[in-house]
Amino acid sequence: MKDLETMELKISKFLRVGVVISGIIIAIGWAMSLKPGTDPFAPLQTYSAFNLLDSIQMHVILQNWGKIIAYFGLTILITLPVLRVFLSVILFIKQKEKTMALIGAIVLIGLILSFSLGIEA
Amino acid sequence: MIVVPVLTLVFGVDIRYAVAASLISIIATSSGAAASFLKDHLTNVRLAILLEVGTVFGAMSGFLLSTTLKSSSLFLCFGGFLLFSAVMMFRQKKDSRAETNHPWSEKLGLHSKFPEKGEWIHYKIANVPFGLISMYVAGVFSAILGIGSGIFKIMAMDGAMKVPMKVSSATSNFMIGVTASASAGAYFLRGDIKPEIASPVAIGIIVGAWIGAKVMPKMNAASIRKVFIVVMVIVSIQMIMKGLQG
Repeated sequence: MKDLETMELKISKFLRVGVVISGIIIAIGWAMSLKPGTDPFAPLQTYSAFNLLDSIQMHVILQNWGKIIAYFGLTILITLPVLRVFLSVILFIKQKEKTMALIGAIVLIGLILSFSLGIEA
Repeated sequence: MIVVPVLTLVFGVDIRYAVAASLISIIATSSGAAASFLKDHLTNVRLAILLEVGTVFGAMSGFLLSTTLKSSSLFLCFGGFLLFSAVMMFRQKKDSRAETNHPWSEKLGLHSKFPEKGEWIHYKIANVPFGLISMYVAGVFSAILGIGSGIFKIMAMDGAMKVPMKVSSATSNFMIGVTASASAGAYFLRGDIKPEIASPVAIGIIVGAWIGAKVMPKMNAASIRKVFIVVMVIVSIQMIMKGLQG
């Protein structure tokens, strides 16, 4: 139990570093894509369905590298909790806690399934 | 809790984009703060992982439900949630301890201890199945409204499961990142998380949390709480009015 808390603390410190790194990447991307004199929120006042892959393809064609960098930073940030659950499962397996490892694996599968809903929707 | 109203009411952003961007702020807050709670031995990691089963599957349902909801319904739901949260913040809370462990808690070793006034306080966990169901509901609301649903999680843990308040707050913070990630990943792939809004929100939250950690200990917590309740009530009325306008 003690080991679990120590290892989870290490994982959480690693996640904190991950948050800062993703924040820096997002900030660089955002700064690169800012256009003075324009309202960045104007195109977002009405909703239009346009999925991630199409958006990235469009930004590549238009050479909006700032947006691509920001998307990369956001990807890191969103996947940090998934990484945490994955590392916790590994930790439980190492400690031979089968039931807890199974519960962690169910959470992990749930996360992957949930992500995939965004592709189907 | 405040990201969605600011983006929609102040900047006129569509509520669906605002909800998705708000989830980013929750992930940043939860992942950034988890280490300090763990360091203080307040987080119950085993309990968090079990309850995440409920929140993650709830978030999946919430994401699917969100595709059927109109913007006006989202404004009304959000306004109602803010009013409910304001009322809950008024309530006097008191810790109550479980006399016996629920069988699931016994089997999974969910009971634990935390430090208080220089000594270790042992606690047991009651009513685990009810906790799991409540977490499912919390997950649904998290995905629909772009909130951490911490208030629902703490209510279920404090009230039904008899988890000490300090532990339930820390454990809830530990869980909200995973809950938010479940629906944020889906919104991200669907293209609803736009860098134009998500970037300033993420940067603001990361910098804000860092400044807050330095400044908060020097401020009067009770005064901040009162101001926050008033702001929540005002914002909730504005959100409800916007929802009623259609």
